[in-house]
Amino acid sequence: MSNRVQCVLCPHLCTLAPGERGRCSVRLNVDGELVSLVYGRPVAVHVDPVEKKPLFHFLPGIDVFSIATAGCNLRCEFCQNWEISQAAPEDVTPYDLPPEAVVEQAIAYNCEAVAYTYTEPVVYFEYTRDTAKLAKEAGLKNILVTAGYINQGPLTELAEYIDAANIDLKSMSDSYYRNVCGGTLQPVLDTITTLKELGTWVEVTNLIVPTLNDDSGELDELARWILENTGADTPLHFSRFFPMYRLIDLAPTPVSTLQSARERALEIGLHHVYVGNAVTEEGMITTCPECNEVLINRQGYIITENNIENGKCGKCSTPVAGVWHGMEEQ
Amino acid sequence: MKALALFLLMFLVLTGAVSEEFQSEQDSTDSGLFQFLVRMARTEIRPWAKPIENVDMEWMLELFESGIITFHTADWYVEKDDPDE
Ligand code: SF4
Repeated sequence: MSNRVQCVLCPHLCTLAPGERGRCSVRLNVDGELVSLVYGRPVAVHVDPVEKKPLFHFLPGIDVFSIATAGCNLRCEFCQNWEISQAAPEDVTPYDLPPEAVVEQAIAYNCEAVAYTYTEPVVYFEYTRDTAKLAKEAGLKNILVTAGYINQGPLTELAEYIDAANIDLKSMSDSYYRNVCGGTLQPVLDTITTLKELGTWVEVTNLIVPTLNDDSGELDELARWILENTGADTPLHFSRFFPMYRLIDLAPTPVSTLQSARERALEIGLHHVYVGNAVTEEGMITTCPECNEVLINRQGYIITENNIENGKCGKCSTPVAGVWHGMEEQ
Repeated sequence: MKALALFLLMFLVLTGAVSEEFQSEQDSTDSGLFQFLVRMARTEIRPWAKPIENVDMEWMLELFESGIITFHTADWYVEKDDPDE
């Protein structure tokens, strides 16, 4: 017996001999058994507003207990959390926080949801799933913030407990995924459509990196793909790049690039397109797709105005896509 | 050594000696040389991704005993037969 194993959690499908760990650095073959090195060992634990995930159409204003372990199955050269995502588990001091403790802490901090975020919840799959299951039993919501690089079987298993997800669609180019992120495009697209089909509330984020994925044709293609595959009501967040990790020589994304990407995505037919990591007037506002009334206004992550009543526009009563307090998902 | 193995494997692929399913050892030919090359090149099949790493198991055990890491049984994996067996 060779004691080799193949991890089928993500599309990398790492085949590992004893003593080898996968590309995510947190799954190790110990004598023919695959183990997670980070179960119950988060390296980041914070309480964040849900708007920070970002989720703009999911219970606005709630606090979210947010956790992350070390590790990621991608290696994005622009990673904003590279100190923990690209670290091996032994490189960062962890907390000892088993799933029960996460739920206890979330309740103690008056959070209405738990988010699996910052790094990549796919690679700490068992911890995410077990915590989400307990959180759901305790009446909390679960939020996945992910690059979506996961196989369909585990995704379907996890989706049972996940209420909302923000999925990072980095580009519509497979070569960008390979060369800049160390992954491939199609599995991410599949994750978005599968979660949507399974009833998870889905929002999509695209980080616009100058010179790498800021081509207007490609950004339009991304907006069109969302329109055709998950519908006009799927919120899209164009996010501003700041020099980070291996791309410290690039300038931040010009705000005008973000604004014009947003305007074109609206013209293409998406109803809710936002701008993140930059101060813009329209980029943080939710408007009614029917009468154009301002529904939610935000200053940073703070909600300054909310005219959604029972999930409907306060002026014309058109239902607004999302999950809102006091009502079921539209 | 790994680079040489990759070069030879690429040569075999380019000359049509290897099926495009070469990632799956079960589909591969019986050639001992081929098996050797596949084993040598295995971690480089996705050269654009992060590498698979060999770790010092004694050190891992120390980290486990100190509570820094866990050995929590993972889901979603399968046992892989050795291509030689
Ligand atoms: S989750 Fe990790 S070990 Fe499993 S296939 Fe993906 S990168 Fe490899």
